[in-house]
Amino acid sequence: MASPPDRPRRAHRALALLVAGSIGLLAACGSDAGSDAGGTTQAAAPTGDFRDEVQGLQRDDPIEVGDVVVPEVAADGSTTPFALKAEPGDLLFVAFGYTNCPDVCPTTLTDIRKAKALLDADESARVAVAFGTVDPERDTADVMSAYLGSFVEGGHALRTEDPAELKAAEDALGITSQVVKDPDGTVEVAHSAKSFVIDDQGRVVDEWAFGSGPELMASDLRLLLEG
Amino acid sequence: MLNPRTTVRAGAAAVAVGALLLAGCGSDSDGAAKDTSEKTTTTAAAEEIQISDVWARKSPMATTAGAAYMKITSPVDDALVGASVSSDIAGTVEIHETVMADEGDMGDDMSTETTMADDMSTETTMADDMGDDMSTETTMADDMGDDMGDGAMTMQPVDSIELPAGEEVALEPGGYHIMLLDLVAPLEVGDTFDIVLTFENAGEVTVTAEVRDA
Ligand SMILES: [Cu+2]
Repeated sequence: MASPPDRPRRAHRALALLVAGSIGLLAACGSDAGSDAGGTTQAAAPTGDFRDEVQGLQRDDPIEVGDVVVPEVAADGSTTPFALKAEPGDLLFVAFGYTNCPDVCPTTLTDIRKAKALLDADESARVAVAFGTVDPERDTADVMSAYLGSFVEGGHALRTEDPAELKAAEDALGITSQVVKDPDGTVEVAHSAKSFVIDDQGRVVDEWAFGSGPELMASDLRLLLEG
Repeated sequence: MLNPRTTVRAGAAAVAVGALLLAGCGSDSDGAAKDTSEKTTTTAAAEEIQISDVWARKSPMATTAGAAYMKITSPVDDALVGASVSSDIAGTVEIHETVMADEGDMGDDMSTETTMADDMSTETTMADDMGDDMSTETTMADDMGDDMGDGAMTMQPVDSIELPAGEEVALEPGGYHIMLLDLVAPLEVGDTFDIVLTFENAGEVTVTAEVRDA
């Protein structure tokens, strides 16, 4: 788990685009079959695409976020302090967003859900998923917990009403968000679309650009789990 | 070690091939709606706007926002200027673009290739750049949607999506989408619903979106 010596930073942006291209190809004509009865989609090959190098961004000097604590909320509104740190020997996936986000956030959460499905069950069990809201006013505890629950079981819904606490978490990860209410009542939200993998020491060991896709994520997770 | 430029070209080629395969799938049922425009009968098939792979993501619990995607190839220069769905499906429909502050509009445009090549050369300094970018935060409210440099994205309504003749334009995650607001009921996998698209030249075309867990 030590920082990789001179591991080349891979072209994760290029790969993200490549993955986006592949999705376009794979989706070809799939819908004409008329049913998705099996519950699986055509876009994700069940076999994965496992590489021998991590494809996300790895820093020579990993960001440390283990001291960052954000409340985890349950559907009933109760909260538990949640540190951005994986359980011993495990990994923690973290992304921030908002539930009224129809495009970016569900793409990322679907990617990690599918990535976990590409891993063996024992590997997947070692990858926890946390999703924090940047829009706590609309994303109440019950909303957050139902939303995350529709992607993954046992996910950690993170929500703080304290802007300073949210900002501290975002600053630690190097991300930003902004919620702007227009006079006409519409709410505009901007937020970083990156996602992070954190180890049991609270070190960010991998960072994924938006659109990295389940195959890349699964491949990285397997390598990181191997340590 | 993989050569990023080659890889990207391969990706682009794959999309192009995908487009060829896709042509004609799924959008032919909409003939009735588009016959309002005066089409010559001789080469009608070749001249029709091709819309394929129309889908919407299963809407997660507790949200009333959804998004629909598709691929469009117009035989002539055209523009998508409107979209609507039945009021049984959603209260409001808008054409949106998700803008990735890092890369401009990502994913739907092969012209990003040049930008990406540039990015590669700066790759080694990326970690430092990300740290520095925090300093832009104070001006974010003013610059929403401008270059925030930290992977931030936001959605914005657009008046139209340009459709250059013969070029496949993808509405896809992280790029353009048909935004469905005030969903009446959650979109469930396997559901289908119609979307009426309005094109500057081709007029109204109705397509059927399939809800996917994708
Ligand atoms: Cu939108």
